[in-house]
Amino acid sequence: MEPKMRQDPSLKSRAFRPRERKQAATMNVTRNVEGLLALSQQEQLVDMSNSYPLSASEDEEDSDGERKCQKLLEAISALGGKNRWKLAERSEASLKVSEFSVSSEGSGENLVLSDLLGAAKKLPLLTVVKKQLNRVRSKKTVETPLNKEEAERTLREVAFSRASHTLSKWDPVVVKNRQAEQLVFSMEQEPSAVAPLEHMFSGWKARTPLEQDVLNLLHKNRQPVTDPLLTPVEKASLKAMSLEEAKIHRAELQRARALQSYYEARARREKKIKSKKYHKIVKKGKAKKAQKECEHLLKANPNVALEEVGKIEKARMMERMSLKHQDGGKWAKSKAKMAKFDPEARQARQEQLAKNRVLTQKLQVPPESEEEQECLAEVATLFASEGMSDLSDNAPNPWMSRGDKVQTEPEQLPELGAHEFSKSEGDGRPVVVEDILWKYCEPREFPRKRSELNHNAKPVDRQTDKDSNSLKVLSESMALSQKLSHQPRKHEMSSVGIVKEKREKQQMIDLQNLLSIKTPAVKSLAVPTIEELEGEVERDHRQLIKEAFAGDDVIRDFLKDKREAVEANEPNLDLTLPGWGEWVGAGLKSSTKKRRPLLKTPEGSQRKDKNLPNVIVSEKRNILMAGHQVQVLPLPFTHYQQFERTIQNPVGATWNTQRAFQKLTIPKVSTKPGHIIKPIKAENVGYRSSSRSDLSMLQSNPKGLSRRDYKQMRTCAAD
Amino acid sequence: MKVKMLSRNPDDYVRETKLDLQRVPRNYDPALHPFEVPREYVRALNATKLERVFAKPFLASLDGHRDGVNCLAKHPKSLSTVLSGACDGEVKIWNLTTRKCTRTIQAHEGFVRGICTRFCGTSFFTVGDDKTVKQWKMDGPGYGEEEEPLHTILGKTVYTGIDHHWKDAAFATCGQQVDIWDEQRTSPVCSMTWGFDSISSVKFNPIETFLLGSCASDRNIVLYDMRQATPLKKVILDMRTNTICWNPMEAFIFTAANEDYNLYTFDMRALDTPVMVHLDHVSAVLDVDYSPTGKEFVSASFDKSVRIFPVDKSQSREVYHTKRMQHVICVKWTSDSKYIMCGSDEMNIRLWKANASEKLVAEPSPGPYREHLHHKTLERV
Repeated sequence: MEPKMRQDPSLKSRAFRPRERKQAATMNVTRNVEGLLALSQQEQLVDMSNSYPLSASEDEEDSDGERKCQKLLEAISALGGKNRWKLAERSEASLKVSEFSVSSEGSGENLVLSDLLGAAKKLPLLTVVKKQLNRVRSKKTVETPLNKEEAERTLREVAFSRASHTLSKWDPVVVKNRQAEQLVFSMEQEPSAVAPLEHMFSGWKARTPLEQDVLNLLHKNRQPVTDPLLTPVEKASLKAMSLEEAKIHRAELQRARALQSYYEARARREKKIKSKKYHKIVKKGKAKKAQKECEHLLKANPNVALEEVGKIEKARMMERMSLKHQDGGKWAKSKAKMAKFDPEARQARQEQLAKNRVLTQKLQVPPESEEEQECLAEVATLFASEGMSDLSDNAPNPWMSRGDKVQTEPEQLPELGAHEFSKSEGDGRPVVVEDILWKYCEPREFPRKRSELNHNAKPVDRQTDKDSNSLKVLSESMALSQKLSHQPRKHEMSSVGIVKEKREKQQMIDLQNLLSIKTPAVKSLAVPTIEELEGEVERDHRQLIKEAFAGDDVIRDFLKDKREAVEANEPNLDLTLPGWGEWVGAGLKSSTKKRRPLLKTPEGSQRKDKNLPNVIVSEKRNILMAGHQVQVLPLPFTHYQQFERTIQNPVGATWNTQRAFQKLTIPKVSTKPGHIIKPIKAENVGYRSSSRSDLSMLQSNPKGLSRRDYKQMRTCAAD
Repeated sequence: MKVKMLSRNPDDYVRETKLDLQRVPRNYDPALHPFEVPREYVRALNATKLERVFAKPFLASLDGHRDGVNCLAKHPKSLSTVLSGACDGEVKIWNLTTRKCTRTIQAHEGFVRGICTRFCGTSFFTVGDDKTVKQWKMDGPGYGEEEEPLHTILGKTVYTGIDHHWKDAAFATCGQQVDIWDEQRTSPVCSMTWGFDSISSVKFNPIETFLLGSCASDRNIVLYDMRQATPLKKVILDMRTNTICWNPMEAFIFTAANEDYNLYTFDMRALDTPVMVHLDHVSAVLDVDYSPTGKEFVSASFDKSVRIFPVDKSQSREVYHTKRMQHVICVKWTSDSKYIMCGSDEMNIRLWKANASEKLVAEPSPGPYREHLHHKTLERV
């Protein structure tokens, strides 16, 4: 067996202290030589194994020896060569091991944890260590930290998402403010800037000589200067009530409450009493009292008394409406039975009847005003002048009693009473009067009008015979004039009129049919005469207009204009070239068949005024107008129709009520002069602002990141 | 020769009896009595014309600076107080009602780059070319006191802008990076940077106060989160952005004033495309400020004009310029939304109406003289 070897200290020092290399460079040669000498000596050494730590196994010793040998050779070769400083290696266990140069070069491969565990398997005492090692194995290795730039970027991203999250809470507020009709910036009340005198005094000192003088003066007179003029307790006591006052107030309240409860209890009790006699007495008492009061009032205050009388009148009316005092009640019947025998019952019944009589009696009302009387008198004189005696014969002054007249009138004039004259829509009397008047006017008026109508009808007939073309125009004009006049003919003429007139009317209707204007035929009641009269008046009026505008035929011009407008819009172009596709020569006519227009109006396009005879709708685009039109839909509107509807409505005070006008022209922003507008605050719009100040947060957390943020950061980095 | 005579029919104007109503001549020409649409059109046109006729936007010019006005600041509590910083390092406090300068401070050596007021209105901060941040009291020095800042912070680099937090005792400066400062400390609480170019302006979001926006000279706009101490997002435009301004009513909207003559309104959450591009300027836009109502903003430009844009329109509603106004460097919309102030190169601060034709003075109450007039007119009738 070879003796165990000791490591050369000089070699070791060279191997494990690389920093000293340079310093030792000069001495290296000599040392190496010395080392060689020492190695040769080692073989002669006796066993020293006890004094030094040994290598793990016996087998390694051989290889160790080989390596030593190799090292020696290397060292020798290195003496002359350039690569003198080879990487150091640890070759054996030593007490003085630097942590920086652990190498596993010798074993040939990396040390794996399982190797160690495998070795520990056999020993039962090492279970604890094993467990620990197992736990270590189960844990993953910590990843390398991000480089600074990347870490900062993730930090920024996290912080930004956080900030934008906090900002997004403002979205609804901002939207609301942007869409608001009006923003008012004078709502919030600022606390008054005037600080109490005491606060002002607290930090004040007299500096100027004048101030000092004044202060001295005040001190001399023992005036309070820096102390508060009134302590808070004093202020509170000033505000509060004295004890006595409070007591009195409380007693008053108590008394009022007690009185109210007494009154309520009494009312409840009285309400429960069923005795009729009691109620009768109470009622009588009340009536008596009321009468007395009324009399008293009449003297003192006649106006109020009048009102009272009105009330009594109303009460009487209520009584009249009820059937209480008729004879048919249960009580009345029983009394009637008993009346034969019981004088009291008879008495009661008679009272009842008397009351009934009083209540049912009609009150005499004098005619209301003088005007009416005058009017009536006028009518009377009119009738007298007409030679009407039959009415005046009936009574000396029939107009003075209203009821009689109203009753008599329909009987005398049954025919007219049925006819409702459209003009007279008032109270009953004027209708009647006018009816009477009409009756006497009719026979004289009618013949004249009819003759006029006959005159009118004739020329029209002639015209129709002459030319149909002018008739057409005339008919159109008639329709137009009918529209112009504000009395549209709603009722068709009844056929009671004279034959000629009938014919005339027939013609009128025909004319209308030509224009295809449908008038709604309303069945009129059997009111022939007056209706016809109206029709005649209307026709007369039309005739008048026709005569007045005989020279300028506005309507024909209009129609012509319209026809031109329609034709101008139609792109019916004749694109045939004359002479093409036909025989030519003298006397040859071009066939109409071949001369068809090549461009036709598209079927889909229809004029807007197609069904409107009296209107020309120009469908040209107005360039001047286009300048004023909006290119882009303004913001709050989502559809152009909405916008058009709003634009159509006028804003001015001429077309709106005062309030609507004010609302429409309200300024977008209203501010108060001299009022400081502060930036919007979270508290003012109902949000909670953070209780901690920004500065304190910055100071407490200089990097400003919570654990949650670090987690988020890690996930960001992983992505 | 036929001589045309004016002749009137006495029937048209003579009353038959004294009791008749007076005849009022009326023209029945339908052309004179149009329907509602043409009538309203004419009315609207007239109203627009009248608005132009009565447009008198210029109110006052505040002169007193001895160099171009570089920055403006509003007082948060007082409408009549305005602060301005000039290119010679002078800061002036103005009273708008009297239109006089109430206080002058030589704050910095070189430019006053930025000025901002504290939210409570008791003090204000300035940054200058001398690498300092200074805090000043709003009230003047007391009797016998010297004019000096409450605090002075000496920095390593030049600060180009400053803005104060809207609620907390913190402010932000920009230069080579965006720094957040606690008012009590002399070093920044945190510094945020993204890229290496110098940042020209920084603005706190007035609603979500932990958000900041900045714009740098490498053409980008960067948003920061103060709580998390990190930049959030960056958008790079074609040219440099000079300033940004947040909408005070809509938390996520801001507008950037760009060198390419345009203004860009962005939604902070979607920076890929601007919500609206505002076009009308003909030179670089230097400053922008929102109306406190959040419906409009005003922009100052190198083209010597001030323009007012509605937020949702790409064209400006109004342009203000005068013969003497040179390049407008800074602009502010007052807190009551009625006035606009602009500071320009030629050392003046100008006060304009926000609505050019608006009548700002209240109608005088019907005093004795007016009543007298009224009675006079009645007599004539």
